[in-house]
Amino acid sequence: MLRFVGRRLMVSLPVLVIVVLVSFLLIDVMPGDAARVLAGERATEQDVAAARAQLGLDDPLPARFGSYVADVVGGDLGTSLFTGRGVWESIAEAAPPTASLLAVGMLMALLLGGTFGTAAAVLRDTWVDRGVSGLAALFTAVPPFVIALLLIAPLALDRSIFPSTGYADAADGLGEWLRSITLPAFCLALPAAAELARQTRGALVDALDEDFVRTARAAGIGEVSVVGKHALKNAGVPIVTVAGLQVGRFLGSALVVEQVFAIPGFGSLAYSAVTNQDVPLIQGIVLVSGIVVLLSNLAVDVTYGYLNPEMR
Amino acid sequence: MDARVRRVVLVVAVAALIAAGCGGGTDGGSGGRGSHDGEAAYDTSATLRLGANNNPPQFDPASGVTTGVDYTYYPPLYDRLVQLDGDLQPQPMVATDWETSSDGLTWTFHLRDDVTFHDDTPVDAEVVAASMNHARSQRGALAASYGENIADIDAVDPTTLTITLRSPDELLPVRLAFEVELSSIVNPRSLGSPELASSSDGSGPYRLAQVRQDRAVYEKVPGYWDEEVDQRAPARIELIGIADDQARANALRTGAIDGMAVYGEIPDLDRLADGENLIRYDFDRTNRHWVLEMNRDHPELADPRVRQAISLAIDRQLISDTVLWGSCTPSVQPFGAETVGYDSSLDAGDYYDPERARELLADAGADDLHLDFLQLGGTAFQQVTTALQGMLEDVGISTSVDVVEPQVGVATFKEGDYDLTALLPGGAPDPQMSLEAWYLGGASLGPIEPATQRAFDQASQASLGSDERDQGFRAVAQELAVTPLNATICMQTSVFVFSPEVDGVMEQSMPYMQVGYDLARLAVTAS
Repeated sequence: MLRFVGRRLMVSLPVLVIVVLVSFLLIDVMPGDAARVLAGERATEQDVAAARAQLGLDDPLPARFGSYVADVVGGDLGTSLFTGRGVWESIAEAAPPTASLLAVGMLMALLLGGTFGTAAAVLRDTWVDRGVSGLAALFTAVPPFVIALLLIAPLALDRSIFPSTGYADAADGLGEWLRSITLPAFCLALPAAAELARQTRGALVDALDEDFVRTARAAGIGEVSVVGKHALKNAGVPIVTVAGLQVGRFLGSALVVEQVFAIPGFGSLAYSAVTNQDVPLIQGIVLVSGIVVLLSNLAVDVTYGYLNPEMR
Repeated sequence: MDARVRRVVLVVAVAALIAAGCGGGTDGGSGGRGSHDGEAAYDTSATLRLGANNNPPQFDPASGVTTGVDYTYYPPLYDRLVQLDGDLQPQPMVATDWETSSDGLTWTFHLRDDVTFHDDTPVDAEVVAASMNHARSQRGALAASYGENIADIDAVDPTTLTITLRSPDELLPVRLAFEVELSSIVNPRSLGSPELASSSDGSGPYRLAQVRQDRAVYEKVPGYWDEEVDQRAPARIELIGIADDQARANALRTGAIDGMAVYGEIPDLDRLADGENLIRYDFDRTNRHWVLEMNRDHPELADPRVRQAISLAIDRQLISDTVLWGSCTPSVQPFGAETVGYDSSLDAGDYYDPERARELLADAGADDLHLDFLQLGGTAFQQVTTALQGMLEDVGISTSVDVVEPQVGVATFKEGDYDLTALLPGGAPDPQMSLEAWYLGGASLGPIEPATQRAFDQASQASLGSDERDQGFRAVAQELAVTPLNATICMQTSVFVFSPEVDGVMEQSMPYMQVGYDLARLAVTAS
């Protein structure tokens, strides 16, 4: 298994290099001029030239890339043009709210999607199956921010069941933390749960038609064990694949959902960085997002190895 | 009005209504608005939480890049020689009074002797000079451009400071009050320190207790020298960045914040600000205005007839009534109604004449004109740009549009690749400063009509407060209305909503210029 993980890590390395290259090139390919942003709204051309020299943008591209890679490897992602704070510091501060949303949202998606998908597969061609499939198709198509706008009024504004804005740190109390992220996490989770329910149903229906399931039933193994222990494990690969894809989707959706709920997370940081054309911060966010998605893909690959030993 | 323009504006208005519908509740109702005057007992142990649409910037004044943002965030931490009152007039702060030499080049400021930094270091003329000299030496920073007309800053004795200018400028006290990047007095021990980006070392009524991604937390420093401020100021102020207008309104409605600035249309604003639970404040003496900037470096727009045609193609009333939720007063001059140089007769005229616009374009040989439009992101900019596009198309000018984020709009336009951009510049305390920033320099690109430049020079050389100055800027406004450098569209009211406990709202200076706060003027009344 360790050798399998090592191989997957080696495969990920070229992708990581591409992510580093893309994040570096952002300063050159993004519209606008970072030096003008740094120089301020009333800067003269000389001021802009001074700011450009300060950013090192006058150096040749290869030299700048070498310097950038050295800084990244050394853990230095630079300083935000807008806040003057370290990029690492900003990302580290924004990580807990988004990690909380991701973790709770993914848990909700897996529980909802897994439960309803399994129910639909086991009760195939009944009203339960048709209801789950219909609702799953509906919620797959509804963006998280629309769900947010629909839920905020009844649950946060009319009744104070959940706060409408803000994030409570877990260190200040688990109850308040959970209350502050339940609604945004649910908004992120619902489309993902719908997708997972569809995949779970499809994969499980196929697995339940397999010979080994008939054999297990013939051997007198209980239905719960047949479905939960045998069929679900065999149906796991496509389900895990879809679950892994949700990490990137969650990160993208967090950008909007965090705005709606005013949560100071990774998505809000990305929004602020882009609106301020804060290139070092954008580079850091792209790099870290890329690494998170790479790691989630690695986790999916490792799970394949567990579910199907032939893939190791 | 032309049917084609009507269609365009109707589409924009319908889009706005749809967007509004998606944004939350839409119930109407009459909104309360007004001031919170009268004697009150202040809760100096309170925490005042306010919503802004941007996250905190960096906090080293000398490195500040956006006056509109910096003027809210720095003043609670750093004193200046001079401050602005609610009428945008310069008032004593660390300087008790000041005078200028007969040639107008040397200004002498007399300083208080009881001001100290938070570490008890005295604020004397020497440290003020050191702080301002450091700020104006930051090449490439806003402070340096603000200090370009300053030749020397010298401490004569601990309470006397002289500032020598390269050319006379009667507005120096106003500039020192407004241009906080240059004039914030920083403790010499911290000048140039990178730590200052997220901390403070000043003599203001507050110190910076915490900076997070979305908020700056200010903590009151006991014994501030200005007793009036000290006796009113709440113990803490949290300025919280909430980018989305509806989310900010939701935070206010649920009590998560005590006040908010309104940047765009909020569908249920009247229901939100019902006059009892929350109060709406309209600052309609503002100099903030929507303007269509025209790049006169491009040959087509160098022709004054083309610019005049563009100005005549704009139906200002329609834009104000539909896409700007009635919060913008149509105007062809860049001065507010109560500002020096405002000429009411100009706005009484009809400056919407598409037929005349077509004739002017034909005269200029530009009847098949195509222009590149830079649109800033955000609903209001998108709707104003779309409306302008339709109006220009109606007189035969086609446009293509690229979009950038508002914060970098000016910088991108100044690169010179675009012909047009619709901006909502922050006003300045004085019309001369507004013109310098948005019409005769700053974001404005290209040559200036000699007659306009002559009128401006004459007006700016007249004494402050004189009739000659007022008449001079009226002449500038008349020149700009007839031969526009850029097309002024309307004067934008700054709208805020506060809980009834928040006091001092109308004593602020900032809302008359931009959508921001004078944090040190706000207080919380004891319930």
